Amino acid sequence: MKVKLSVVISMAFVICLFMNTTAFADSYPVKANLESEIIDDTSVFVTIDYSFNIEEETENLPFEAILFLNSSIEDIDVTVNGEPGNFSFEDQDKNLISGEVILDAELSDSSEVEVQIDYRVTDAVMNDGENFEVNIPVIASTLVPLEAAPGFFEFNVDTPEGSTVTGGFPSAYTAGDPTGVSSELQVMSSLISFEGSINEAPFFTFNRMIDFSVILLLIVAGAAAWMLNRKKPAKSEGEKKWG
Amino acid sequence: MDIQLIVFVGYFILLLFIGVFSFKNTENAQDYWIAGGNLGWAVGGASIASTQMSSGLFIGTIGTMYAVGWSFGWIVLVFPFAYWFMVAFIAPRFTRVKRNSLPDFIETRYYSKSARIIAAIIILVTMVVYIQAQIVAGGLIANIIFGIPTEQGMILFTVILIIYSVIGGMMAVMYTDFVQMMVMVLGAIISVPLAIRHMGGTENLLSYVQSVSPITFTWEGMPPAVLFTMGLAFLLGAVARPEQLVRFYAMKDMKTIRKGILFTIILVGVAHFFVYYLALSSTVLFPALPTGDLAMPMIATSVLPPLIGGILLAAVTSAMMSTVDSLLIVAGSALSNDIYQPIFDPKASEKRKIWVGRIGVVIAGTVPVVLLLFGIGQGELVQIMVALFSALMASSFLMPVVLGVLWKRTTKEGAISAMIGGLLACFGWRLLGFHSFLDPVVAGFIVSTVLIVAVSLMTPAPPTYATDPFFKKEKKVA
Repeated sequence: MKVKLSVVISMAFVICLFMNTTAFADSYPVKANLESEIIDDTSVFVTIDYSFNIEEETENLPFEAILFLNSSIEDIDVTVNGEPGNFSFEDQDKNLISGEVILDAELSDSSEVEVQIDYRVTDAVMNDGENFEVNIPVIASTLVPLEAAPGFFEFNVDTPEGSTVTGGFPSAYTAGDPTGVSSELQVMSSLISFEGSINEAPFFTFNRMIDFSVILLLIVAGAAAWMLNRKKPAKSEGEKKWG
Repeated sequence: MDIQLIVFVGYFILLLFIGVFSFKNTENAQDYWIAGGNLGWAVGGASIASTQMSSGLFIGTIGTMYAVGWSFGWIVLVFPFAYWFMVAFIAPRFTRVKRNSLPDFIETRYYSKSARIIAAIIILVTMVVYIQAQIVAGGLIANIIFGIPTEQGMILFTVILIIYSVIGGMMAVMYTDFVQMMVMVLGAIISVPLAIRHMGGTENLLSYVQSVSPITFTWEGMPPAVLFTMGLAFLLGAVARPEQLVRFYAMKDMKTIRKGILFTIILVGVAHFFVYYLALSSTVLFPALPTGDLAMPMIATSVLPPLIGGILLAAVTSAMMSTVDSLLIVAGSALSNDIYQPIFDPKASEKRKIWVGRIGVVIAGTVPVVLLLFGIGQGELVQIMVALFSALMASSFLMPVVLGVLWKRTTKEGAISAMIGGLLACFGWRLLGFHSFLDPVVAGFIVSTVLIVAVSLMTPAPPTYATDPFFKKEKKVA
């Protein structure tokens, strides 16, 4: 009986220990959709559509973008619920721009706000006639979503005509017809990046070579483990050396 | 997604195969609880590393570094010291009398069934905390990979774990630990260069981190007192954790243990080094995650090629599994050998004890997930739960184990008061909310130390039949 009582008391401790209260959520992004189009040899035009759930007294929505691989962001334009929006963005340092979209007073109490951000990325495309890379810095909301959810961040990225995508970030994607790549993430990312060949892609792409190497490594490791740990006859007690 | 699914299914089939193989080779209780006590250094060392790192490293450490920055990373330095202490001071005497579990050791050294039962109950209860941390991590992974709700993922992982732990016992656990450790280290090593490649190299990565999260390379992410004492919790907890101590019994001899511990230190160091890089990568690529614990699953599913991503996630999953399966075995052992047999059925057959242990595994695996489903335990970062478990272990068992093999004068009364007092002090510190400025291990450790020394000195010296096996010099055989 004493033992049973001890168990009950101990379990009560554990339950008390982890009693949590759920924090109230502030404003948060519900969904984001990005479309990009190659507009010249090195630049892309990007449109991101956000849906936000807005709590009372929210006056602005913060965003930031990391300028990956020397790219730069220009000509930012914002609409809020289809109307031209107030916003300010500025360079923080050579890698980062940040800013905010200012909500009008009457918008602050609405439960959902649609924000569209358009911008141009220079030095986003590298195309040497054989291979290409598209690197798109994302002007991402810094508000934290409630949870990771399938389809939270969807995007469709334009790639050079006649090209074949061989890899990128995110690694799981669907190549479009005839060009373009689409995919989705469960959270917001700061970068979208794809690479490939202008003509037919080689069979051994970077990703395939990595996959092939990993499979080989695992087979070798498995064989080594089997050799190293195959059961040996047990020593008798007298043969064991303890201490 | 399909490739990741195939990798997962293949991985679980491998685990099932190991479980069945081990089941066929489980002939007696010693096989079930300590894998026959005849394992080599590679399997033993990898198993200790795998249990130590768990999802606390692959989910929790990345998540915490994502949230508070680089300063948390220094905690890795405590592990080599903890392992050195274990192998230099504890293992030689701890393993002189070979037992099946930590409570078994407690009874032998402290000549008291009550002490054993108390130790077993403490293990059963506190492990709920740690198992919950691993199950939460499993649920998050399932959420990211399969898009299923976290709760369903937690149930799925728990069911798989219980099945193969119940079937195979410690032999299955040790061999799967070895496989899992290899997969984890391989996954971490491969993923780092691929992640950095997207950012144009390490120099760019560090520069981007500095821009996005300036706090990362400072000491401002976590109050210094909490950081230091949390490190203390990991250090002291690593020395005293029963699921690690029992692995000494599973290895052949002291020479094997020394080699195994060296292997453990190498594996822990390598894995931490690469995991730190992944934490930095996630800070740049995913600056606004709902919880830091999602950093690794996101890296695996979006940075790496699908095959390798699947392998890494299998590694992270296996980290969780390797820890929970070890804990389940210890919990099952506590119920069977330390509570059921001494109290209810002293003449229980070995077969019956194994089956009671299996029931214990099922109970110990089910309770944490049920509590989580009722919202108890949810909402904490995985690493915080792991730190709490370490603090509880250190507060309860560190001094009874360490002084048990180093100070002959330690008595059963001292050990019992230290276990209970340390546990209550640690719990109390946390319940009162003081953990936000000082880790609970400080209170638990101080109370435990004071009690074990004071009470031991106030009570009669222990009988020689209890201390001789651990302290009497061994006769050298010519």
